[in-house]
Amino acid sequence: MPKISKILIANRGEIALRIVRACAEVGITSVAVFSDADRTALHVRAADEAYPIGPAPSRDSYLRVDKILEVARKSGADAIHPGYGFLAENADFAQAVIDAGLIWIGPPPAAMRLLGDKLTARHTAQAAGVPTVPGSDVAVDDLDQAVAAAERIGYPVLIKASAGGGGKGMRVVRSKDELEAALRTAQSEAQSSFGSGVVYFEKYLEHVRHVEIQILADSHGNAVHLGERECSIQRRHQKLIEESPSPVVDADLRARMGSVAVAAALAAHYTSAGTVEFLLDKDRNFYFLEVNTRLQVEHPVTEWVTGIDIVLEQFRVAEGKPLSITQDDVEVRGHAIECRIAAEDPFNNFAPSLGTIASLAEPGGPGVRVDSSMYRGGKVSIYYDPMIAKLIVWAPTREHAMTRMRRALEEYGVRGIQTNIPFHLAVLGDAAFQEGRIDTGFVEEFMATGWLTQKDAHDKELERTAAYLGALVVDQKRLAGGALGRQSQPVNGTGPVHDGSKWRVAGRREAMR
Amino acid sequence: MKYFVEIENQEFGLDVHHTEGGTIIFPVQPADDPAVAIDFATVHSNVETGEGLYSIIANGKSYQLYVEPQETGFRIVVWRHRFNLDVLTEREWRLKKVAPRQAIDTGTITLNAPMPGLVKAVLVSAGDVVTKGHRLLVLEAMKMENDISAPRQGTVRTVHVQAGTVIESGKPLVTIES
Repeated sequence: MPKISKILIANRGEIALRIVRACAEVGITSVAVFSDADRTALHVRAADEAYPIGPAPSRDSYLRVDKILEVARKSGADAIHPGYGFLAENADFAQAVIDAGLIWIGPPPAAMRLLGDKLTARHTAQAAGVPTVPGSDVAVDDLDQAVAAAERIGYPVLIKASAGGGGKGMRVVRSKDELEAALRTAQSEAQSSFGSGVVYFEKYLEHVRHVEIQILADSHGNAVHLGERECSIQRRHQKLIEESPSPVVDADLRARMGSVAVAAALAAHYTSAGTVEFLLDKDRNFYFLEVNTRLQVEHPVTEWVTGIDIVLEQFRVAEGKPLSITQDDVEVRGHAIECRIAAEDPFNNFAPSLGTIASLAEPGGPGVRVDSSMYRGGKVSIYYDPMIAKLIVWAPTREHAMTRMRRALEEYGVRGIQTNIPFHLAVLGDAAFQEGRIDTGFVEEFMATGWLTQKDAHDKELERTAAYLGALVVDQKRLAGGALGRQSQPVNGTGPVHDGSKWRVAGRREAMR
Repeated sequence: MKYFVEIENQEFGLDVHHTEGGTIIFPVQPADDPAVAIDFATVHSNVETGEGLYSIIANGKSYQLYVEPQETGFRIVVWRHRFNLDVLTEREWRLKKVAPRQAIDTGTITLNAPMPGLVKAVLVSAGDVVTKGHRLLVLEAMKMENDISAPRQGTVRTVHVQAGTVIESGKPLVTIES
């Protein structure tokens, strides 16, 4: 059985640091790679070894298979972990790693191909007896096929790119009039984003929950599920808040969803960690959506409620060992919530906020986990994803987890850039969220409530305190002899005179006496 | 020292007093707000710009706020809020109050004293044609000399005051006709 002794991490940011930490805990040497923009990044400083791989743009660094394999050779790494994003779901990269004589910490390339293509994944799921969202089941190439498929499925329909992800090549069509234009855009978006214009149709389900099952499988035919994650709080198909367990999934439903997820994995000869995504309707019927053949951003919530370290299990499986657990060992305990912290300005329609982190205070205390790429002086650049940290909390109950998350978000002080923390605080304070009444339309409806401008007595108190501080800061500067803040207008014929300068003169006179 | 803070379309008038026992803020606007004992401490800040983290204990309640200087005024980040505010000294506030509305372009306008003070100099007389921004007189008040300028072009119809006189707030100074 091959023993892994040195892992190259083909990623950056918080997930690279997450894997560096796992290595350190089990005595594996970690090798970081970094672009020119990341020389001082946390993952570089925390890793045992670090190598530059090129300029800041991802295509010149983190997506360069040749450079990454060259560093693996140079450093003597025996395995590669891809993290998520970048090359994580690229089966050709996985194959190239294996061909270079290295261990790929992820599913076999064949399983990645089978489940990574959404249309093929649907067929695999159906063959394994997994219920899927009603859809076309074959590629939709032209308008005639589209009209027929949409009529059969019933409007609204969702056009999806077979090779897609992240909402690209995805279009909702509510009537026949919209069909032609939407088909054309989806096909061209899919072609330009994924190199394949193949699209298919699914029934567009509204007021449904996004619930996904974490699976682990080894090369000995063992596969387990680690329960579900509720990920309905999304904005434009991007998850913002995830929790485990789901407020509506009970032990029976969990077992049923878990067993179909495991069946789909076994049918594809899957190994390592993966996620099977489902939609769950009001009547608690679930439908297969897609499989993510990688470690997921939101894996920490599952780790916390099950006590299983998913990255360490990935290491074991990659070494050819059996999973350290069986299904009977998996028990969901308590409640975990994750908020994705992004450098996006909620006061400005979530525009990306670039800049330097001027000051940073991270939350701590009981039940708090921070997986972050942030540090004081660190820069948020245009080159990479705006998600810069994850805040995860655990508590015995959902109620306590929510109050703990609010408390931790209040402690989180990120200055110099704008983050979506105010938005998370507002969602955590929302009655529907607190009662678990959420679906994939939640964020859109919540945004329409005017959450930014609503003010209660506490908000007004903070406003008044901010006014005090404004006066005190200006007053402090005046006493110190500066001209801080609002610059005075020139007020007489002899040139500009500032309040502060007169105070400074007066102060000097005092000092000279 | 009095300050006027404009925040979120509201205005707070705050009289800041430093005593041996600490700092006290007497709200002058809205006047019925009670006085507040303030313990104000800088956690860390840039002394030039004021940017930084501050701790305030107001009547025993503890707050931490982050100040980011803006082109005019500040942005203060506290909890889930981001407040933009402008801090004016009393003199700046009074000058701002007297600045006539920009929209009026014709007709007769009389400028009134924004604050009590001494008319230091009168720079125009009746019949003078003035352009917008033309200095009309200098009012010494609050230890500062303040220009009173024409809000728009026109002809000086009346000068209501003479150099050397002490005037009350609100007293007519100059009438201009367009």
